[in-house]
Amino acid sequence: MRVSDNQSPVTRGNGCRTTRLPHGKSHRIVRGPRMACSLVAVFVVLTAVCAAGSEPKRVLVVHSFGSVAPPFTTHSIAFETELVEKMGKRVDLDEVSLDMARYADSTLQEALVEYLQKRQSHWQPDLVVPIGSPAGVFVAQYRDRLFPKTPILYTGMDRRPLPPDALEKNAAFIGENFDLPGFVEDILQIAPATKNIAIVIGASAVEQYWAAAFRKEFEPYANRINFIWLNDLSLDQMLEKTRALPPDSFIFLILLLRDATGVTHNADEALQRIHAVANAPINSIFQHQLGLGIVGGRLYQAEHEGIESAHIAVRILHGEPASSFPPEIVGPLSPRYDWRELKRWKINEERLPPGSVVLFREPTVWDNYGGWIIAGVSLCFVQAVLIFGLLANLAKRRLAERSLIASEGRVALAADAAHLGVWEFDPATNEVWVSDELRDLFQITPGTDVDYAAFQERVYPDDQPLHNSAIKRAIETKGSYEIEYRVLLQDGTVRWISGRARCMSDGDGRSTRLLGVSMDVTERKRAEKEAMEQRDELFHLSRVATLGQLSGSLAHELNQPLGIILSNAQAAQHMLAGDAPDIPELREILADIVGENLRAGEVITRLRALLKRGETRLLPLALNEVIEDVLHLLRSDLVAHGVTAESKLAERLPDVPGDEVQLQQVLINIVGNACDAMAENPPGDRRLRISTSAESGAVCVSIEDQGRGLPNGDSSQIFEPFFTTKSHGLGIGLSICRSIIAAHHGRLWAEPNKGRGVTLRIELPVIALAAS
Amino acid sequence: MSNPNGVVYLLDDEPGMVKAVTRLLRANGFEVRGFTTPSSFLEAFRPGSDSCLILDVAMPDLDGLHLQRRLTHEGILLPIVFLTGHGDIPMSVRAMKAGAVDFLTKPVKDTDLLRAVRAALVRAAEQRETAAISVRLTRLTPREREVMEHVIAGKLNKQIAFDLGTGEQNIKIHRGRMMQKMGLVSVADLVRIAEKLGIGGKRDWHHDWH
Repeated sequence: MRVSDNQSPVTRGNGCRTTRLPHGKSHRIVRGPRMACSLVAVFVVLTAVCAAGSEPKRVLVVHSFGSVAPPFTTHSIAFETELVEKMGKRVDLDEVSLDMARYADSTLQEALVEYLQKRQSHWQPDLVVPIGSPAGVFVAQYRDRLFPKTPILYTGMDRRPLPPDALEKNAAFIGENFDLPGFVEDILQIAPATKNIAIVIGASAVEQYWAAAFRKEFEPYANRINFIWLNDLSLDQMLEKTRALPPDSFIFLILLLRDATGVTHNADEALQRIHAVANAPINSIFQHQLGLGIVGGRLYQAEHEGIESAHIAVRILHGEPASSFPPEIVGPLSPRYDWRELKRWKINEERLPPGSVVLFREPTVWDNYGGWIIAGVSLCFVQAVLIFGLLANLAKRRLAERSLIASEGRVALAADAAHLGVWEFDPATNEVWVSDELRDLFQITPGTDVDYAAFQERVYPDDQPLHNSAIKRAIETKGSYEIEYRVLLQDGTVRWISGRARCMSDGDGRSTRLLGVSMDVTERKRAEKEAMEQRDELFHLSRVATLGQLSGSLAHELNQPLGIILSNAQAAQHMLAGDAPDIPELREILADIVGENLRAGEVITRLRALLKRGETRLLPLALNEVIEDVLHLLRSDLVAHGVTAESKLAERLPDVPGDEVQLQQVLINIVGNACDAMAENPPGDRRLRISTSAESGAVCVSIEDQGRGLPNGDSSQIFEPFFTTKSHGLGIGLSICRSIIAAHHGRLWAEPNKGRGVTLRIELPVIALAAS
Repeated sequence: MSNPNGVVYLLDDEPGMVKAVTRLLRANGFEVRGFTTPSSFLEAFRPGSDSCLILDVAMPDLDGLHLQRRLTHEGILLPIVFLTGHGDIPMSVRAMKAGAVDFLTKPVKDTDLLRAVRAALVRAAEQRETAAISVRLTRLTPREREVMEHVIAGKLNKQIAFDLGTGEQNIKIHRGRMMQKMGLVSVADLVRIAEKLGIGGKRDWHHDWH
């Protein structure tokens, strides 16, 4: 037996976790020798002296277990702290520990009785407080020998293990009355699907008592729930078990003081270890364990009971007879739960009984810092407004400064630097003032006066009407213009000029002048022309390549009329060889031959147009006709691919500016791609739809296939040069198509169809743009 | 020039081609029926008389090779001459493997076309004969069939009677009935037809029976 250190309860309260639990009647007790009556008499006298005098009241706390045995120690610390709080120095606290987890042996108990008897000759308690049922049972058992007259306060225990007459002799009781089935009900409340409950409990005597009690009380649930008792395992084995429980399991921790292998444990620490590995939620009995890993329910609170028992102790020490206190049962708290565990095991809060308290909610950032966030955002906003205001102010001022500088001579500087010719025309006097740069540009002799006619004379004859009308209109409308035109220099060279001018009026609006700048853009024009020629060459080459792919079907287009011609001609020969040739039939034959011959000629003409090398020329074009031509040209190709083409061409489609041959090329390319894309479809399931429609200011052509769709669903990739999914071909077809459509100021893009396949759309503007 | 009797069906989606070829064949004494769509042809076609088909390979609805397959699938024995504007070797190989008589390309010479059509009609007549004999063959009793196989193997009645374990008189009766049912008068005809149908000669019955 071990006597616990006589520490100050206050200091201990900080460091220890105390678990107090019900204890069982665990052992046979051998009666020891009775104490001498004289000793009893001495005690009584001493007690009386103490009570009467200013001597501190003596309280002996009998612990069931060691100093770190939750939940008992939770209770005892609260009791001792509260008692000292209330009594101050008027209380003298001593304690003794049975340490029943380790020393549940009757011979040791007997030794303890003797020890306590000897002790009492020196120090006799005014109140004995057994905490926990092992202590309660011990005190009730040996009370006559040890404390026949001393009041007893039984606490921290269930009443059931105590002998029935324990409370009859000068004793008070404050404890629990565990609702054992209630623990199962609490589990089913939050996890109705539970099929297995693993019971964690140790193997010490008190634990054996409670294991038996629980087993009995759980019997009614046996048909619904499989109870897995872990009391014959070591803690390590228990951990292994709880690591891999079957689905729909729950763990119920009753108490763990000493496991089956004789190792003592701290139940709270054991709980945390189980929580770390278990694959099922855990519940236990005591409120102080909420937060250590249990889900929660109706929990019993050791601390509150400790405080309440201290209050009763004070009243007894102040003279109230212990027997005047009716037994007090401290019930469970209203249900309370650990929010984190509810989340972890996905237990819906709606399952919790009404009036439940959910603890350990994790506050959101908003909950924590809502105020700060609002303040911060407001501050940023105010700052942004201020900064913006200041910047706007600054920008305005700078702008004003700049325009002032510009109005004073920056023009001249810039004009000089950029080789801009500046001129000013006064319609009233017909005079034109020109800068030196302009004289250089137009090769006007320095020093000579320039009038409008002389100025205009320099413009290339073909461009004079354009230049003239632009100036006139600017003056009439008091507006401005921007044109590109050519000047013809004296040596016959042509210079491209980009000219801009604006009409400037005086305040009264009468006197009007035209201010202009002219810039030499010959180099740019030349580069543009070169680029355009290269582009046309590229278009041509790709067209030739396209036609190469079509050669097979073109042969068919030619062989068809040739075949008809040959058969007709030979039929005529055979008829003529007969006796009575049918002259009307022969006439028809000749007509057919002529017709087919013309048809073959058309095919050749169409081919030549496609093969022709030429610059891009945008002329008014009926797109429907272009499409029909292309479908005709491709007819045999479509047939060879087993593709059925349906065209739905809008009536009265406006003409678009376009290059017929190039647009044909684009369509041939797109239709060819569509045929290739549908090659894997079964025959009869290769449909191509071409439709036209008039949009606002544009004409739209849609070519829809039912093929395998865009590679990776990416519609932009297919227009990249050298992108191809075919085994043949360079992958430049669509890239060139897009360039051609761009040269038409239109757009070409691909859209995946809702079902399968792709629709390529061409949009060409109706309004003629300046021919490039 | 004498041409085999029979109907020449002509299917080409190009009306001009149908017209021209019809004229050429009619001028040579053939009975021609021209069509520009497979469906109109299939509707009008009647098996029975000896006939052949001049078929364009590339047609929008159903290409010629598919039509060929479909006819074969439906058990219609119609010799086909293909006529294409743009044929390649794999295509012609496929057509010939599937039983085409010839594979011609446009423009087609009259002599080539006429030769192919004649060959096709001859084949049609043969096929009709073979088909008729196959039907007759099914009417034979097992014993008659046995007797026939022995006859084809060149055995005398006496030998057959011995092989089959019966009297010579019986064999004579079976043999007579068999020839009657087959519509034949000479053993030479029987052997020729048996070759065509692929019966007899392959197994040595004598050897099998001993």
